[in-house]
Amino acid sequence: MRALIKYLTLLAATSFLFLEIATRLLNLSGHAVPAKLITEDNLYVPGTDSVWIKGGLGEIQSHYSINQQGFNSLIEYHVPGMEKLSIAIIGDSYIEGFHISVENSIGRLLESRLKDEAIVHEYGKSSGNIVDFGLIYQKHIKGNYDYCFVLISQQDLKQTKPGFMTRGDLIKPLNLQRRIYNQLSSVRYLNINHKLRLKIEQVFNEKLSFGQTDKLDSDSNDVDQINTDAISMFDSSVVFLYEEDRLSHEIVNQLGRETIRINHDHLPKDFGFDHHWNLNGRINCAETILQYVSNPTQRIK
Amino acid sequence: MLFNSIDFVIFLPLVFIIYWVVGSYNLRLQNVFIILSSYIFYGWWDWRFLSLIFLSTIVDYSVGIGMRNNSDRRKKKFLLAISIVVNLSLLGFFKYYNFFLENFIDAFSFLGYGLGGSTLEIILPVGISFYTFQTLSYSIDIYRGKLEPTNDIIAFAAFVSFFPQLVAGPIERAKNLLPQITTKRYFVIKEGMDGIRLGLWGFFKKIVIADSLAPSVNHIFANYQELGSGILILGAVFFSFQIYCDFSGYSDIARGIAKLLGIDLMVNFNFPYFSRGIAEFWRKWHISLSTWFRDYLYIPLGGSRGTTFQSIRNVFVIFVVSGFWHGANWTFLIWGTIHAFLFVPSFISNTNRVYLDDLRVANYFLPALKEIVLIIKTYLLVTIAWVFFRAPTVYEAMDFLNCIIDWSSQKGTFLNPYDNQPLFKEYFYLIAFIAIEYLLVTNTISLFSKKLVPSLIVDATFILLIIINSPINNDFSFIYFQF
Repeated sequence: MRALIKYLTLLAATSFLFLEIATRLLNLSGHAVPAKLITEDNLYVPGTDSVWIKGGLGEIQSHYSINQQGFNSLIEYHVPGMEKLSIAIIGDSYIEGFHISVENSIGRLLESRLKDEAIVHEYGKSSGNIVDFGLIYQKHIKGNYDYCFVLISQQDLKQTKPGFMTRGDLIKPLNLQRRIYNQLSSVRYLNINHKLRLKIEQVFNEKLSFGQTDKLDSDSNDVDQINTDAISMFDSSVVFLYEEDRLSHEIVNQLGRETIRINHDHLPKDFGFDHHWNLNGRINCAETILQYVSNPTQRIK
Repeated sequence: MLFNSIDFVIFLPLVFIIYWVVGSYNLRLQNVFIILSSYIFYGWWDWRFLSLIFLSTIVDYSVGIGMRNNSDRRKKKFLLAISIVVNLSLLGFFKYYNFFLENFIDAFSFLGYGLGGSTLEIILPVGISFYTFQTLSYSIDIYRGKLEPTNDIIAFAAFVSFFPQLVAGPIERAKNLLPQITTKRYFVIKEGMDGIRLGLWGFFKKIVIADSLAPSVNHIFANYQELGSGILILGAVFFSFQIYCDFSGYSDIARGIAKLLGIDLMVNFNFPYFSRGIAEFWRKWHISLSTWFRDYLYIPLGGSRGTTFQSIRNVFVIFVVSGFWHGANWTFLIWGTIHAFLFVPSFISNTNRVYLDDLRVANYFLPALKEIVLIIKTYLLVTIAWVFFRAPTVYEAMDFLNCIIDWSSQKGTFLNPYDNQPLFKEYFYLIAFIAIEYLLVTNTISLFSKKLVPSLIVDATFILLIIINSPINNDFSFIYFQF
């Protein structure tokens, strides 16, 4: 048995070395986008410009660029003037768009389709929920834009606490452990590309909880759980975007707000793990908004 | 619990440590631990179906004891009938109830009689075909006097539920597995190292080959009418390797884990795609099932001892039943029947036992030209039959083959079903895999090594390839779990 333990130790070390070399040589591992407090909101460090890498074989390698306001965008978000049509889009990682190059974000796709007669600002951040979206709306958008679209999902609508807005205390200090983590390409690869930590947490939180799952997850169709206070933070002119598989018709009807469904006309190339977070997914969203802006009376219900 | 899941990565080391710590004190306790860990492993899918394994265990254990205590042949036969009825009823209800009902209603409506009756929402318990066959063989062997029944219900329950091979085989015989469970086990480093290598080789086949090919196979079979002949042939070839690597990968993982626990399971696959005839293919593919049908169905039917007609009938029976064992669908029946037709010529001409030796290198790296031709021919015939196995209906299988023959349509790119992504990775891995298999089957290389450094390099390379090719969001289940 002692010989086996010795062999397994050597094997673990060799495998780790192989993985470290492979992830560096094949450029399979990216860095987590650094976070920063921007007026108490947990956003990204302005000016960060790098490549976002995802997938076991680095299938997705996209350019991202953080603007001065802390969002992934090629442009700065100054209060838009009257000379162009102004559009704001709020949402989660779908709007944030790390899975495609920032040059092809929904905003840029929409602007090119509107022949550069519009300016589009994307307020997207992963971990965002309806409370974050309401706070963003109140802080940056209300009264400043011609159109405001908010991407919502069933889970987002039920949250009662913000995920990043006003949550400045979430930034982790750069301690020794984090410094080592940043230096080890293989560990970042396992954690970011393969979601290893998340998967291990799931085993312990879900499988070993013997049925005591999160009430929100187990009863996701319950319209009573919708955070109506957060929804009331938006003016009546705001249009809610949704995807059919992420929001039930029952909730759409209960909302009592203007909603449009994103048409997935272009099938996403998803590599088996990147559901709708790719160029085709972004084109679908841009064209849905374009259709609404071009002819709001013929919108899709 | 899937072998290729994070759950199992956590589960296995814990089981391994506790198993050997407990085993150093008490064999009975070690067997109790096998049952406990096996029930956790199986209950991870659906704990309710543990009752079926428990029922099967109790029935066959009792039948075994009953047969030992009764010398009367008729009573023994009655007890055997109980075992057969209980096990086949479980299988019949969960696996075949809806199939028979649907076909019964269809047959009557075809004759103009409208029959009532609706199918049930039955969930197929994972691996039911495997463990019911395993327990059945125990009772039959005792009835035939080839095996002494065990008094030790703990050992018997461990034999039935032994988690490495519980859900997709190899279908072990009590003669092989039970004595290993009833005797004290010692950890042997060589066996442990071989177990690690075998397990990694199995994971490599499953994750790197089978799971890489799966999306393309699904895409091609789902859109076959839109695709050209070249791509459809590619789809059939990809599926042939997907199912081989998926299933033999599982068997290798099972054998590897069993070795780590000090238990030797039977070889289930022996490089079947290098067979020089259908008969040889069936001696090398899913060996535990083929031998099961040979011993418990073909030979009792008379085997090859009767007239030529009776012998051919017996061949057809085992191939058709073997097809039906895989699933309640006409496609599996047709698949089995095709293999019967492919097998019968060699059976009649008495050439079915020609190639009993291993494939050998004759000229440089290659075998004799005649053997190469026979290998390719056998592979093509097997691959055509796989289309019926993979297609959802017989009509679609026929249509798929018809579309292959229809060279007039020039649909899609020649050997790539996608218009927006390359297939380089799939080709690379597949060619590399065939090359490794060839070197293994000709004994040019060995999977196992006694030297430390080569062992470390090979194992670490397997681990690297398994990690970087692991699916991100969903772990692909094993194809044979549905059977």
